[in-house]
Amino acid sequence: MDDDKLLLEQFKKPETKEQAYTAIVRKYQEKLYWHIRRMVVDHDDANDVLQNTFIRVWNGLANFREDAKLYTWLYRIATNECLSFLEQQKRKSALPLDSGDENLSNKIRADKYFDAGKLEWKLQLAIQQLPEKQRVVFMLRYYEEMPYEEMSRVLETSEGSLKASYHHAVRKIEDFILNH
Amino acid sequence: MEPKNDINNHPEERSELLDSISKAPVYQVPEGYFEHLPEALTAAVTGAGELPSWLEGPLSPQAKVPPGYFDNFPQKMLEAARRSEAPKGKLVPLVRSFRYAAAAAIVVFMFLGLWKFQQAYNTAVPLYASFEKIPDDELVEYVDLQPVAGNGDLAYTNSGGITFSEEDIMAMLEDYSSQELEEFLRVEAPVTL
Repeated sequence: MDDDKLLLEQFKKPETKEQAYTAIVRKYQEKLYWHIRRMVVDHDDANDVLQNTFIRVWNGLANFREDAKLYTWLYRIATNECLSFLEQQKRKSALPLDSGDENLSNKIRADKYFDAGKLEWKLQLAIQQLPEKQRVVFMLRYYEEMPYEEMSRVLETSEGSLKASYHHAVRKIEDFILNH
Repeated sequence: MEPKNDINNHPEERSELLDSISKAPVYQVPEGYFEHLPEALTAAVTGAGELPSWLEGPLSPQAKVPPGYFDNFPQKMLEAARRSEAPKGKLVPLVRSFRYAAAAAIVVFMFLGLWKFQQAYNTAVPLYASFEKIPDDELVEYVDLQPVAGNGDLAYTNSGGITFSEEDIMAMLEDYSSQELEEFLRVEAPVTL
């Protein structure tokens, strides 16, 4: 039995439920945090989204179907929370809807450690130029190296579409980095 | 956890440019953030504690209700709804209230007007009655002696006829021609010499 299955078994038992939950948070917090942080850029926003993600985990884990992998389910929740958060940010903004990506780019440039000459920062700016769904595909594939099969479960999209989307995302990012 | 390096199984996806960029996070995280998060979150979701201030977010789960708040909640709501349906008195619409107020005000004004008229009548009757005791001759004499408002140069009285000065007569005769005057004298007032 792998770690996740053991944790799920423990979560179902009242006497070990809290212990299992703490262990799950500890195991996945950093992975999910960075996935979220790259999407929303700001730490406080990432903190809010991460909390909401784990609250949903607490409320929904009892009904989790074990035919899916726990980490796939966690990424799915985190991704949905990210997209919901970004959508809310766009609605709250008095600026036009398509300025949301520009807002994130401005947040990146406003970072205390931002260095326009470094490729790592240019990459972050390039990622924000992508449409949101394509951004998620790129991050899951590039940073998490998630197999397409798993990614298709997270995003409920066919593997072929995901491969094509990732391919186009890489081309766009290369073009942005080379021309900015 | 899924093994990494799946991307290496797809060489067609490789990008020299991206391979040259470090995947290490460029963003900073507050010190100790990940150390306390698991216990803090567990305490928060189980109600055993509250989120520390540095973890508070818009949907913090520590919001609580008093113990037993939701026990029999539907029944309590039903009873409250029934109580609200019980008749507590007749509600009169505001517009109708205005109408009643206006009608009352009109009645009061009419009553006041009638009362004032009655008072004036009661005062006036003795005055008219006292006139009846004065002889007509005295009243006529009194009126004749009173000056009439108007042109002060016009010297006449009501009962004594109009008195014209010679100048006044000459001024009036200027409006007539000599022939008209001669005709008048010959027909209406023949002069006997």
